[in-house]
Amino acid sequence: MNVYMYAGLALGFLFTFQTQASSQVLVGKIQSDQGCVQPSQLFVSTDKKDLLYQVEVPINGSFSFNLKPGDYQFHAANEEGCASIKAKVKIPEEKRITLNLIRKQE
Amino acid sequence: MKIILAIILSSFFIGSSYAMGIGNDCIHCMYYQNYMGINPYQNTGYEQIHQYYSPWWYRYSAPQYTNYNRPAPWMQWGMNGHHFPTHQGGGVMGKPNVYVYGSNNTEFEISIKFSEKSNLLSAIPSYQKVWRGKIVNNGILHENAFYRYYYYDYGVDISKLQWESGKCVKDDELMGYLNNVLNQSGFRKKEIDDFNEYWSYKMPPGDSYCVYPQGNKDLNKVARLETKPAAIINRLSFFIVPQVEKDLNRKVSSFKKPSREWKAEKQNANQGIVINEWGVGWLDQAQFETNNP
Repeated sequence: MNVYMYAGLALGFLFTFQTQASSQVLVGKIQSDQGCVQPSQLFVSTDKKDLLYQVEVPINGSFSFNLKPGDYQFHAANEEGCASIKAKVKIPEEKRITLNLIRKQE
Repeated sequence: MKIILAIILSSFFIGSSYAMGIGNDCIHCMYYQNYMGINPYQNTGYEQIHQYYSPWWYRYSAPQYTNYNRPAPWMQWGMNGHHFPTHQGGGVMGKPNVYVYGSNNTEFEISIKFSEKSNLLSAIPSYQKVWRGKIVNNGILHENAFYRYYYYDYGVDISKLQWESGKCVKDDELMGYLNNVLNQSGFRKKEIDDFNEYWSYKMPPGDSYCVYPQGNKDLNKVARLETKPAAIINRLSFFIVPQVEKDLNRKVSSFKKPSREWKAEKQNANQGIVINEWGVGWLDQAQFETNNP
């Protein structure tokens, strides 16, 4: 019983150490080459559709997120009907991202 | 017979257009479809509570996420902290909004000093060691972008916060109580409007909530704001613990309730730089057993 307990504690310690040590800050920017002007809502989610953050970012504004290793999706949209494509981001491989807001196709 | 046929046909068409909007990747289609009055929340478990305002985004992406009307991936009465690289402090302070006021074109710096078990998780605009901005029209000009406020999230060491004063309220009293405290603490209307816009839709469910307001003194122990030039800083974050999960009827019995009422301290400042910050904190349920203060 004690062996299992110590093994569990060791694994917990390693897991804690690993997750803290390997997280990474992703820096990004939201821009628009189609004249979108209103602030956007930025949605950051896991690849399993868990929404981690929803934040307001202005056009030409920047953001930074401290993320654990894994796959994430970034998407931005605003009230004008502008939106970015969904960007897939892999942490820790990627460190920068730019989201471009485009207008709805008529 | 005609009436029955009409009902069947109309049901078919309504069902078809609804199904087209859910689960596809056409963001713009969904955006405009939502505004046509089709309810995108059918069968998604979406539950609207505490609604004061209807921001444009509240129906925008709901079907695409499992937890759209929660502040984060949620367990029963706290966040699922496994998603966030915190320093195991037991909680997360979500969405502190930082408003900066003063004379137009005043330049300033803000830096955040975290305690050992507290750490930055996100920031708008991006943050390394300092935010440098200029006050413009009651907003912030920062690297050629105009922000209404600065924003950040952080993992928080809950052992350094206060758990004695606050109030436990029923779910239909929660937003009213939070609004009263914000008003009494001197927050401006637009700041309270921003608070309501977001938290009316992101508040997790509960039959009642225990609220532990954290003021300047408490928050400086976990995330101290330093400014140049010196500013008058008015900070208030509500740490909120839902008491009963409606569906599961589970009580959070081991977390102590506040023993006295919180008394707001109103800051009166009309000169120099003034910084107002509100935020909301949640327990990291995955860390709760080892961090119960």
